[in-house]
This record gives sequence, C-alpha cells and structure tokens, in this order.
Amino acid sequence: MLPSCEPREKLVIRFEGSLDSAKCAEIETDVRGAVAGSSAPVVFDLDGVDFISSAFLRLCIYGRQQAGDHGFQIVNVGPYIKRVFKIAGLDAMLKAE
Amino acid sequence: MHRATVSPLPDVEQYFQRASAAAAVFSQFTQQQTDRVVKAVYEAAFAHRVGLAKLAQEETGLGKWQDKVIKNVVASQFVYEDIRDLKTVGIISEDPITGIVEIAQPVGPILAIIPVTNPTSTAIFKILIALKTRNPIILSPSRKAKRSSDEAAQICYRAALEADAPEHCVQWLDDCSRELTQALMGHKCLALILATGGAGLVKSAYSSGTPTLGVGAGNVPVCIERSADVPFAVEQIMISKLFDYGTICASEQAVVVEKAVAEEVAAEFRKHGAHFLSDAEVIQLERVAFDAAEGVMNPAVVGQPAAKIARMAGLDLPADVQLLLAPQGGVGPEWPLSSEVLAPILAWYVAEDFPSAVNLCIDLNFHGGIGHTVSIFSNDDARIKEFAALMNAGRIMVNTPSSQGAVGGIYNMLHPSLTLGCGTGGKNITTDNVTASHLLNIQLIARRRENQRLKQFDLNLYYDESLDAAAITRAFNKNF
Repeated sequence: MLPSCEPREKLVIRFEGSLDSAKCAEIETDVRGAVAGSSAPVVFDLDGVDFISSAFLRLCIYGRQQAGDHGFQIVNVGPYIKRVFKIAGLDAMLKAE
Repeated sequence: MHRATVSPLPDVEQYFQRASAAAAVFSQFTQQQTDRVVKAVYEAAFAHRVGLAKLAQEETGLGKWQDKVIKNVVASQFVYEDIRDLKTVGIISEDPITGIVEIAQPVGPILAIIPVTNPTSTAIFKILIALKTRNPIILSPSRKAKRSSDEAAQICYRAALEADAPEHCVQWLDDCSRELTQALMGHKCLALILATGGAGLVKSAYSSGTPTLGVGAGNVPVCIERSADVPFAVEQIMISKLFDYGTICASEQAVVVEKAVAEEVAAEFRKHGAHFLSDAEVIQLERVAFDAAEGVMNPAVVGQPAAKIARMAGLDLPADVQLLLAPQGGVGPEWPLSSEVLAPILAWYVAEDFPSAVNLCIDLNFHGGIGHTVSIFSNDDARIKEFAALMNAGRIMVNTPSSQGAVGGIYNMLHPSLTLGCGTGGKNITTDNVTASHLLNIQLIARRRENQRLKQFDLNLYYDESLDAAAITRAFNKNF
C-alpha cells in the first residue's frame, strides 16, 4: 500500500505492513519527493506497520533532516516498532509516540 | 541487489549510529530470518576458504596456507554446524513445572578484535556467532593482517545483505590505530568486546568498562605418561606443533616425559625429523627466539618453519629439520625457552616419575599459561583425572594434538571456537570456548510457583532464637 498524503496543516504520510528493503525501494522516491516539497510539518503515521528495515530508518532520518524547523513526527507507533527506534537511538530525535 | 561498499568512517559516532540501527532492525528478525542470514554467510565464507587462507599467509608471512584453510574450515563449516540449530531468538525454553520461560535477546553491538595469527578464521568465526545472535559486529583487524581480515569481512557482509540482513550488521575499521580501537571500546553504545589478542590489548578491553570476553596467553605443557602409546603420542604432537607452524595459542610449548619412556619418545621425535639441541645450540636459539628485554617471544620466529629458525640462529642443521627440541633444566625467566614461543620449538623435560612430571607441568602452566590449555598422553584414566585436577587450565587435551584439539570440533566435542577463555587465572570471565551462546542476554519469565514447604510453615518459628537449623529444618520439611 502506497503512503497517502493529506496536505492540510500537516503533511501526513501513512505507512502500513512490512516496510522491508524492497517495499522502501518502491516508495522511497515518492516519499522523499513529498517531504522535500512540503513546507508544512511532516508526520509519518505508522499505524499497522509491523516491520521496519534499515532503509525505512534512513527515510525517517531524511524526513527529520528535511523538515527541520517545520517539525517532524512519527505517530501511532506500537510497542514492537517503538522498541526498534529505542534500540536505534532514534526515539528522541524522531519523537516517536 | 545490495552492494557492500567500503566507506572511510573515521568518526566513532558513525560506527555506532550504523551499528545501533542494525541492532534495531535485527531485533525484529525471527529465528528463520536469522538462520537464513547465518547459512548464507557460512556458505560464502566456506566458498572462499582457500583464497582467504592464501591471502592471510601472503600478507602476514606467518604459517602455512594449507593449515589456514583448515582454520577457515573450522571457523565456517564446523562453527556453523555447531551453532546451526541453537535457538537464539524469542522463547527458547518453557518449563510448565517450574513456570520458568527463557527468552533470548541480543546483547547489542559487538567489537571484535582480530589477531594477526588467525586474521580470516577469527573474523569468520566472530561474524557467524554474532549474526546468529542478531548482534551487529564491528571488526578491528590487526594492522599486519588488515587486507585479509577486511576481505573476509566483506565476503561475509555481502552474503549477509543478499540474505536480507540489516545494513551495517558487519562493519570493519579502516583505521587500525590503537586510538580508534580504544575509543570504540569505551563507547556507551558498545555492548561487548570479543578480545582475541595479546595481553596488552585484552587488558585495554577489560579496562574500558565494556563487558569483555577475552583470552589469555598459553604455555601448554604436554605430559607423556608411561602408559601412553608413544609412537602415537609423538605423531600427534608433531601434527599439532607443525600446524600453521605453531601459531595457535593452544599449541604445545613443552614436552614433559616420564623417564621410563623418555628414550623411546626421543627416538620417535627423531624419526619425525626433530632435532635435539645441544646446550650451546639452546643458547644460540634463545638469542633469536626470545626477546630477553621484553621477556616474550621474538615475533620474527612466530609461525616460521624450523629450518628457517635454525638458519636465523646460525645452527648447522639439516634443511629438512621439522622441529627443534630444547632440553631445559628448569622453568622460569632464566630458561627462556620454557616460555611460550609460537613456533616449531619445544622445551624438553625428563621427569623421574609421574608426580615429578606433574610438578614440572604445574610450573610450566603457571609460567605464563594459567587457565589456557594443558595436554596429556596416557591410557590411565585415574592419572588423566589427577593431572587435570592439578592444572589451572580451561582445556585438558587427552591423547590429541593440542592445537587442533583446543579449538574444538576436530578431535573432541568441545565447541569449535577461535576464542578460548582462560578463566580468572587468565583474567577472563570464562574458561569456555566462546561461542554463540555467550552473546545472548537470557531473560527469565518467572510464573507463580509457591514454595509449598514455606507456605505451610509457621513463620513465627524463625523468631525463636532457641531453634537451631536442625529444628527449623525438621519443621520446614514436616510431611514433605
């Protein structure tokens, strides 16, 4: 399922399922393009995500770097995925909820 | 398709950002996903066993490439078979009676020190056990063996990525400086150090504050007890001592033979091309084999053939000499060749009887080899056990070559390993052959299982000082 974008006050990109390397390769260009082109705060919604790969962590880091002052958030993170961000040392930076 | 690229990463933080991300992704892997990675790495390493062995020998100038092939086989095939079926993910045991459930968790990013003596085999071994336990690994190669260690790491990493392992699950340092390695050792994100190397480096690891599985030095005595099969014993010692020209730390350093069989043993050694040095020749050899100022073996003789060492010492010996036997009058600094020398050189001792032989072995064991390995050739089970109990050694080889025997899997059922713990005597935390099971944190779920004897016991009895342990025990066990 490709991420959906709702450019209202925030750019919300919804992800679901297994975000393995192959999946990330499919969606990377669109996601990077959407983030780079947004002047609004960026939100990655991970409701329903059950696996994240190194490639997805890189996308998150990219999102945070691009959003800068506009803000970047990751929301709807279940305990399995929260743990991944914690181990990676990225939970504080990405403000995973 | 993933491509393994070597990027210069001088920044310590970058190594750990990558390792932490790899650890995070790895934490999600199932046993099946993990084992798929491990199998792929084993197969790739095994496929390159000869090329890596030749590269290691060519780069270091140590040992024999054919024997390094065998080391690579042990590190890949034998280690893989040993760890293949180990449960290392999630719930690994569940006991309904005790109510205890064990869950395996990775320890986290591992720093692996790789020695010059085994630059490809140790790399392969540590990568396999790290990936089996879902731990990302950073290799710190020896300066003198960087190319071969790096090549082994690259081969393993490429294979891991092809099997969908997390990116940067294997990294290797471009800079082999002691400064960078020490900076990594003390980093807060480092979970564990696998320190296979010299005493100074192992001590640095332990001093860093990061949990460490280290090794100690060996000074292996081999006791030939009178019940030994002498031709067999000498043959096995030759197999061991000439393996990679003596570079394995568990190789025999001294032969201690009971007088009753000494002449027969000596004759057998001569049949195998060994030369017994005269007193004058011992002195000549000492000068090249041992660095008196430093009190350690001279690196120039490590892993060199006996004939070459003989020439270095100015000894007029046959060109096909296989082993140099140096009769010694004692053990200690005044007898340099009673110390460890990783080369085809053996100190030679004749003991009056078995107790005297054991005394000499104790002296040798405690002279720089505490906790490592000792060896005995005997067909007397009681004497074997007595010998073992009197030594301070994690491994007691019986009727086998000590070099190949200590690493496990070839001549015995020890876990195949290129990191041999020497226990507290060697300032290590274990005497085990380190393997995958050492790289896990095991969690225990403890369900309610009340102590039934305590439940029926009147606790007020504990406050009665007049009741001794026997009286309390009787009450505690009443009706049980």
